[in-house]
Amino acid sequence: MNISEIRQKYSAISDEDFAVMTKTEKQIDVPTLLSMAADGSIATVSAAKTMVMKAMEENGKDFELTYPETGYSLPAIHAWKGLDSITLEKALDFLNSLPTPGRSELGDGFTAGENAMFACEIIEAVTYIGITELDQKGFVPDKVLRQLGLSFVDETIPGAIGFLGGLDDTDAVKTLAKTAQGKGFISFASGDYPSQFESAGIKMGFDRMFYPIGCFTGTVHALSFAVRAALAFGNVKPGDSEALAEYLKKRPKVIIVQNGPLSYLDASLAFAALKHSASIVTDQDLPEIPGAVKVCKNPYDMIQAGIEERGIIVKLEPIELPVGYAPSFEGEVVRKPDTYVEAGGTRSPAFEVLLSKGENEVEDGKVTLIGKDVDEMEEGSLTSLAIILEVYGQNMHDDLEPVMERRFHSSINFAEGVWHAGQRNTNWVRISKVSKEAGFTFKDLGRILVHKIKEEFGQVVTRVQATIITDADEVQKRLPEAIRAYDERDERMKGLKDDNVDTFYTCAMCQSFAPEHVCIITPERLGLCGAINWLDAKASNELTPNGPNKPLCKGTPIDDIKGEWIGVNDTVKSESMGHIERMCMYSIMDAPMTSCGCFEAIVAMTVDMQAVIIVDRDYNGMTPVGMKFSSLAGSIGGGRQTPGFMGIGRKYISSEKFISAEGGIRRIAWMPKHLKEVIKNDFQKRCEDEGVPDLLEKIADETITEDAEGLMAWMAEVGHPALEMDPLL
Amino acid sequence: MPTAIEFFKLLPKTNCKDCGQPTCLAFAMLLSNQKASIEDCPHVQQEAKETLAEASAPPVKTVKVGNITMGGETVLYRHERRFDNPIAYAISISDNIGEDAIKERVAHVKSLSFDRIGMIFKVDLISVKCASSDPNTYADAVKLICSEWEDGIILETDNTDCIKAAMEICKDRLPLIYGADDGNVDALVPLAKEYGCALGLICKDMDNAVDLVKKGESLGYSNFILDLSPKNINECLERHTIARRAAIKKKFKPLGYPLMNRVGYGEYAVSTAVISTLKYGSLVIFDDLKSYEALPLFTLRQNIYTDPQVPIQVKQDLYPIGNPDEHSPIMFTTNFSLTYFTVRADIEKSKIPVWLQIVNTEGLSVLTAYSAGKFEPERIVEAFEESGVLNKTDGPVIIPGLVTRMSGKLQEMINRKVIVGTNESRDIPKHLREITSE
Amino acid sequence: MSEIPDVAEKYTGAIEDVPIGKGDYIAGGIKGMPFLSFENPVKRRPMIAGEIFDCLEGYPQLAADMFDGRQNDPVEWADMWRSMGADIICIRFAGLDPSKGNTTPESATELVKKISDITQLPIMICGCGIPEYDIPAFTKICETVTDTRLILSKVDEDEYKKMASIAIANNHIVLGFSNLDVNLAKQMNILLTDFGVKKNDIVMDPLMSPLGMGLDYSYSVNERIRMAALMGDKMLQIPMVCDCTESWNVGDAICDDDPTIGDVKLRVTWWEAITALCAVLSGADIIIMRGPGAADMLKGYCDELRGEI
Repeated sequence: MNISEIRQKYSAISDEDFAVMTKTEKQIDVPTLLSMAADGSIATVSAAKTMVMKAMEENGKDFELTYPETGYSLPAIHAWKGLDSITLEKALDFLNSLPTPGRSELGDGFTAGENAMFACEIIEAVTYIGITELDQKGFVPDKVLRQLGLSFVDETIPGAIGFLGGLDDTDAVKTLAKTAQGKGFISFASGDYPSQFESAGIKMGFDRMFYPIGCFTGTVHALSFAVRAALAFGNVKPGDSEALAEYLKKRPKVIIVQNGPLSYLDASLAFAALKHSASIVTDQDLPEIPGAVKVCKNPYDMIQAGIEERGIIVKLEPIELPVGYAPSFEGEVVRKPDTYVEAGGTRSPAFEVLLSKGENEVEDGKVTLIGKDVDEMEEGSLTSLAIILEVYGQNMHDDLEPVMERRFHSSINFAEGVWHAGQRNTNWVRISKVSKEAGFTFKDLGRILVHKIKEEFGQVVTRVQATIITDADEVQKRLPEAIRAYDERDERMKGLKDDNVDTFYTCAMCQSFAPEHVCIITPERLGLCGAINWLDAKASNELTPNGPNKPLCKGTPIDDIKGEWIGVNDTVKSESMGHIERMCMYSIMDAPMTSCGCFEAIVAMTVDMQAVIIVDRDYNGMTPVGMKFSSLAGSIGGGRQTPGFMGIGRKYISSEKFISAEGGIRRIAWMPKHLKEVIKNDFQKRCEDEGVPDLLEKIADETITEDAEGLMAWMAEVGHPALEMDPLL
Repeated sequence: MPTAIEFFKLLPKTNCKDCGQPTCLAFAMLLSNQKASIEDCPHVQQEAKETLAEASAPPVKTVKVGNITMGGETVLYRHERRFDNPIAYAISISDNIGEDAIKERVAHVKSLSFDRIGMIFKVDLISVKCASSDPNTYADAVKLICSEWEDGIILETDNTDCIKAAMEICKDRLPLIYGADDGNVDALVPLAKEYGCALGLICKDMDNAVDLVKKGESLGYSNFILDLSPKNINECLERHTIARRAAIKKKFKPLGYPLMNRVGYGEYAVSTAVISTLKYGSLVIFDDLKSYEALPLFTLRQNIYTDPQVPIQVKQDLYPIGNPDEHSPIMFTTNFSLTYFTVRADIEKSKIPVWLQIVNTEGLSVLTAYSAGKFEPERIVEAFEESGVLNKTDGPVIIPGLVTRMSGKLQEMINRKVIVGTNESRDIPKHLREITSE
Repeated sequence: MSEIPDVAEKYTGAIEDVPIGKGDYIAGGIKGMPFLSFENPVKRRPMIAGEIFDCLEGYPQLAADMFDGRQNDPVEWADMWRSMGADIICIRFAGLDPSKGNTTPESATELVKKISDITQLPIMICGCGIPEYDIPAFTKICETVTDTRLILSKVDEDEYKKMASIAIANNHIVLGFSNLDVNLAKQMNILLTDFGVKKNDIVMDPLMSPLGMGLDYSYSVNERIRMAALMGDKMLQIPMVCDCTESWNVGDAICDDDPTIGDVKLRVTWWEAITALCAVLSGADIIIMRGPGAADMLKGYCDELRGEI
């Protein structure tokens, strides 16, 4: 519909009002936007009054305004204001009662938006006088809502997109429509969009989840549809504007895609959309508001930007593969004779890496293969292989890279006849003959990873692309970037110190059997089960904010040496239901951390009170404190605080904060032989940093002694550093 | 309760091993967990001993009847630590019903004994009720019962002559005397003291309980069990709760004693016993108990008194379900009792015969055991070999869905088809029907 | 003046009031540990939900024998529960699963309407467990039966959005299920409230394991949930539903070929009654029961525990 057709359809509106409503601006800052909304809204209300008065002349003041095929009267007015059975006279009174919007703050914008929305609804209703049946455009009838049913609010349908304005690029128009349909959105088109979609060959209609709602004041039909969903499915009572706004915050999730010059009317309706918790993505130079208004100049990216802006999670279609894909294949081994092609395993150059990239560097779902694919290789080949995943998300950050990268292993292994081992640049991949016959390709490998990473980490990454490289030169070329990423990570991990962060994490995973136990996880002290470090806990919390790992602000220090903070104490107290009052992170003697039962190892004070021993779960023999692991575990587990004894994760032994309040690693006098082996690399380095390079040799094990006297004798013999310290008690 | 370190500080730290522990620290750990008595250390200073005894005395006194320990509890809710000393159940027999009838009654009491996954559930004590008021009759009855019954005895009378006569026969069994009230506490406390036996105090109400305890304690004895005489189950719950909270949370000593109930038989008796079992009772004396009441009640006691931190375990063994044959499938799971019962019930629901192999995982559930390395192909194959199940059937092995990642290795080790089972036990019937119909 | 110290706890939290049925029943609202009149002024009795089925496929004969043939007509069956003093009718639509019965969304709706009209009691509806059949039936029932607030049983953390949407749309109540763990129970409640279900439109089922089959876990999990709620954890201040009918799956309860453990009917009745007594003493607000004898006993105990006898 061009401007003259519109003018004709709404001929009752005065020239002045019409001119203001359709006027546009180019450079728009916040004050401009607010005054556009105010002026647009005033003109629209005035136009509505004119329309109503004109209609009264023809139909009388008691004529009831309503839309065809709805039970909700004038839906927006009904929902927000609770009005019903609105006669022309009542409509006029209502319009007269609307406050004049200011133009100084956001709240004024919302008032303007609301006024314009109500006025548009009345204007449109007047145009429906005498019409009893709808013709696939304009006002969307209740029956569409009923057909969509709960799928509109139970997140089966991810949300709604309102297309506002228009685009001259047919290909872009087509892509926008296909994207919206492909992701399962319902769409409303207004402005020039309906005709542009039509020329692009997009079929629209009430039964296609794609509705042309008209232009000009007709844009309001998208909003009146959203509020009806709230009334129908949200059990919101008409007129309860607070409950309505609350419901609309959650669903239906609405994105407005706006292209082309913004009219005064559109500006005011944009505020109405924001009141419905919609996010607006525009190609105009509007001021950005996080979560609400986003400028995006590339039409192909607008829907994706809207999805990210409104926080919509689009359900993934199950991935189709030529081979089976299930956790049950994870344990399957592809043996050498069954292998069609393999890579890595130190036989050929290979690596895998996940990198966080910028918004415009990642095209969601793109899988690129550089080099030959499986079917182009000879049976029994050895190939170079690079697996590079690049991800983007508003909440993505570097610390999550390794957490996601670790998922490659199980994600790849879930595929039938595909086997993965190792990590980083020591990875190893095999594809079986059977799977090759079935048609499995390296591109499939990329598709799998894109899918799984999005599925598991959809809360933080919204765009994922995969690059698989089998070309030997190209693999070598890209390797340095990966190595740099590994190194940076390792550096960051090393630099990650308790003193440099404000946030620790709790882990309440074990409370089911140790109700008072709370693990406090810090960068330098991992969970006592050994399975969850600070980064894992952080990632887990970002992915499942209500899950077992919660952040806590460590707060004001009480004792730096012992590692006691107000925030930690408060958290421990509330998480243990008041049973544990204090916890010192770096002490074994004063309010040490509680122990649940799944600790990897136990630290225990020796009987001469000079040192500690460490015994882990795999050692079944006697220890110099006179208790085996099992009886120690039985005595200290269950969530109690037992000074002198503490359950730990093995990696904590090599931490700078290992019982640092009592002198740290210098206190260690005994460990089982195999435990020494397990921690050797990290521990030896720690010893050197600590200035006791020969400590490991001075630590006794079961081959030296298993009793208290023997240990004391040994310590005296080797001149153990713990003997020079004050007794623990 | 003091920590191990606090105990350790007061010990001689000589590691002399006279207490039976290799080190003083180990002994201190046992003390703090109430698994040893300070008396076991011959070298500790008297002063330290008193300090320790005072500090380590549980808020609820420990009282012995026969070889049953009652009281000694330290917590209000079993999830905080555990309830230590299970409630005891007694059935009464009157002394005047004649020799044959007494024998029959004892036999009935003995018949209320059930063997459940390696545990014997049974009645703990017989309460000999003095209906005759005649010391000779009473003594004869006690004698007869003692010859037929090896476990605990309660002398249910306030007649001092009868008690004395019975004690001559059974004092070695350390019976409970039940019981004393306002009227005879002065007479019965010295008598109980003389024999070193526990005495039941029949209290009219809570305040009366405090009075009776104080009276008894003033006579130099404190080996009491309190019957707070609730008139209905609400009073039972409330009085027991008040007594136990006062003792544990408020350190109010006069109510820091084991609690008991004297009930009759039938529905009211059993429901009172249930409340008492859940909430702080140490002893219930019944007139009678039927087997259909006893089995659920004993099961309840077993459930409530398990250590919440130590999972109940089932024996590693092969459990045939529904007459499996040489083609029936093999399923296996961990020996955590809850896992076993759930899986078993779900297999039974399918009505398909299965060989269920239980693998000793030290009571851990499937995922926990797997992560702890206690549910690995090696261990499973070991269990298969021990039971010989692979020779009993050529059926497939169904692996719990949660640990499918070890299916490859297991299949290799046993050279038998391994089918991936369900993640949830409740889906077993459907899955079993699907595979057997294939 | 008694010298016994005051042991009443001063709790800061209370369980939500959840109006069910036609508005004259409220679940929850408790302010102290169960039945302690000295700290819990709200003497609301736990509600007993009598279980019925739309089709008897898989229903134990042992239980059927206790209903004198009334189990053959769900409406009569429900009315029998009413006459025995049940507070809620729990309808299990096992027959929605086409392999078990031939219940349709329409016939299920009809049944709910009839039972609601005849008994005037609140109703809990349970699906067959297969969303494909449950969702259309629940949608139909919930849209049609609007004069009584139904409890929709049950959702878990993997599958709750559809059912929650149905409940929100029609002002009914959702039962959130979690597997024997305080934190999981809390998580489920958080998921539901985050999705938009109001706190007083939720009841929770933390899984009641029956006597001899894990009751120890349930008893302690329930106690911990209730204590945490009373101590102020808002996300646990949700009325608790305990399904005690699992007692009928315990071998020792239903074994009928061992004369040393007594009459099976009396035994299974005790089994369920004791399981239920443990449930109410650990904080249950609604108890689902199968056996009429056990339900009757439980009702008596609850009255007595409230000091009414």
